[in-house]
Amino acid sequence: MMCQRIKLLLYDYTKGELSKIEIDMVKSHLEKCNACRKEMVFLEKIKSSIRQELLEPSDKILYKIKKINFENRLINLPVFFKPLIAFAVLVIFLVGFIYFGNLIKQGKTDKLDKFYQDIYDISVDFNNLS
Amino acid sequence: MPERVNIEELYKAYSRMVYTIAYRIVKNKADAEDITQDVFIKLIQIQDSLRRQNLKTFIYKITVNKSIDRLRNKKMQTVKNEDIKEELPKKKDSNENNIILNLLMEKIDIEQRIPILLSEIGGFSYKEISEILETNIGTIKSRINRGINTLKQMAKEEIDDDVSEN
Repeated sequence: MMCQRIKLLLYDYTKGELSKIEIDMVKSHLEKCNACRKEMVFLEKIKSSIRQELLEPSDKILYKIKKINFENRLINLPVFFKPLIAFAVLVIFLVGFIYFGNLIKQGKTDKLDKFYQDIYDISVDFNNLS
Repeated sequence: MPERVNIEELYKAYSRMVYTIAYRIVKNKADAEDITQDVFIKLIQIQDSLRRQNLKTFIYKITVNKSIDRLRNKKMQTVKNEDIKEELPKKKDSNENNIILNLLMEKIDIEQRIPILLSEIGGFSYKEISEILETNIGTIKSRINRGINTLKQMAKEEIDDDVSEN
């Protein structure tokens, strides 16, 4: 009779959801009763098998969440930030344009210089021949 | 000004638990991943109004609601128990006993399974579970106890006696 009552309280006992009096009652009964102790061990086994394995979602979810979070932060930027960002993008674009433009120009000048140098070398060779 | 909740931090802390609970409810990896994603997208959408207190309860509430919605939409409640029975491994060492117990867990009625999962995986108290499921504590308590008793009963039939005695 007592065992039946204790068995009904075991899960709440493991959860710490009993009153002080009930906890003492279960505790002292478990010390004396082998069958209820076995029941308790079995219950713990069941509980740990439910808890044992946390599953890992695939990485693509984290990637998607990061992407959506970033987009959401851009959308929700304060109003005064948006023109600032547009201005920064424009400046970066212009700096890039000027920098790469110069590189291209420099490349062309270098090629031209080499061309003139070659012509000069050839003419020097001709002079040496004569 | 209240501290803003960092979604990536939340993802690191809760994604596994959210995914596990969702998977154990809908029993399908693709659906569980969709639910996990939906939960965190929802959190992103309401990021500014999120407060650290009760956050865990809130996340689980969304997870459970989305999982139940998914179940309803797909009418998955009719997942056949016979199939689960067929999947039970023949040999029963301690690892396989865990597998058996997990499979048996899936046979428990959804009304009992959800509070048990919240209790064991989420580590919630009866009061918190009653808040998540918007059901009174007495009902939650009786559902969990009924579920656990059914599980114990089925497990005793399935698993060798030595497990219950070790």
